[in-house]
Amino acid sequence: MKKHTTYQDHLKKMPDLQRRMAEKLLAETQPLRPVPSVFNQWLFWLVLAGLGSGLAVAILKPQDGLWEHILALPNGSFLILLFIGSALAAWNGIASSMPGEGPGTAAVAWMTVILAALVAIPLFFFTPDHLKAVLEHDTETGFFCFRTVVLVAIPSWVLLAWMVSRNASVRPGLSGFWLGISAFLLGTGTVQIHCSHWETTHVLLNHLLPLAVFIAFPIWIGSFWLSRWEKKE
Amino acid sequence: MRGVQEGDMEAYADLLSGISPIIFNYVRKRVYHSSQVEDVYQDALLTFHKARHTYQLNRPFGPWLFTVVRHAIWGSLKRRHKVTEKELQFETMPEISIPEKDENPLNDKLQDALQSLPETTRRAVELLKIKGMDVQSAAKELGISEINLRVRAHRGYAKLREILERENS
Repeated sequence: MKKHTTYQDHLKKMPDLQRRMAEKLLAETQPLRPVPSVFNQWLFWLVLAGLGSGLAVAILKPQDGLWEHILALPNGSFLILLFIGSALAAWNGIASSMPGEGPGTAAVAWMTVILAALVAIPLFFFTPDHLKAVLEHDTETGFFCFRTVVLVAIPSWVLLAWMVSRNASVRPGLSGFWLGISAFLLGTGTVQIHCSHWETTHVLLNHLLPLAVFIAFPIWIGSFWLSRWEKKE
Repeated sequence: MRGVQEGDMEAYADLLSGISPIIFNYVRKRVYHSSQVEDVYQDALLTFHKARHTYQLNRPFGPWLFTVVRHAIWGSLKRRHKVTEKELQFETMPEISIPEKDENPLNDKLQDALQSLPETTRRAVELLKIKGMDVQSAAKELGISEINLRVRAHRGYAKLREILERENS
């Protein structure tokens, strides 16, 4: 008859140091709920981000003649790339917080291409405008677009960071970076649906600059918040 | 890992008995100072324990485990390096003989010198240097201002130095 083994039998075979460590961990063992997969977390974010962005657009109101603008190739591709970039960056951020999940080289390469395209499209294909006129308009409106991008980005980043903080990011600063990119691109996309200014300087200064200016914060905050799993007793 | 996540101790013990030597060897190959191997190994296992909720049952275990362990090794070494930088390290502690109380002639000399000080000065020195009180508390005990106490104490130090130097010469 086969003898039933208990966990103590396993420990007996181990060298002293390893046995002591195993006993310590076993003493803290309790059932735990595994975090959802990267895909499920991303899907959850996608639904909430869609709802949040939709709500923001409903409050701000979409621009007049939105479809005509979008049907122009540079404008349409710019808008689509904003949302694709946001979704891909969110995926990268979530994946980077799950050990052994990535993001892979291809995802990083695609993200780089998208970010480059998002700067190149307004620079080369949008109507040129003058910095002075843009700044005058911004002063009148109190930098409305800039502020709105940030306002939409913050809750999106907080939601993503909260989700990711429950995982186990081995590179929390990098996870914070991806989540920041995602949140700001979502903010830019939302504002781009509302704002009828499809001009180079306005888009670069008011819609994309917040990302460049504030990206250090998600990295900095992320490096603390997203590493809290390691500090738990 | 399913059993581990469900809190099954036997499954966890089984897993630990399997992965512990692997992790230990992995750490030993990557940590230069042999004195740090055990500590880093313990950190690696603790990190594994804290991250076990992120393992997806349908994914391969190896890449997940070694990502966690690599991160733990790096983090542990980084923390230890920071601590080492802040501390003054001695390879060997200097040998200082601690004389017996009666064998130290300075104690008697110091005691005599202290007794030769005026009462007010001696009390100031005793409270600050023998009882180890702070200036505020000592001044309060003597019922004088902190400045006054400092002046008395400095006079006392100077007088003690003078007496001891004279005796030594």
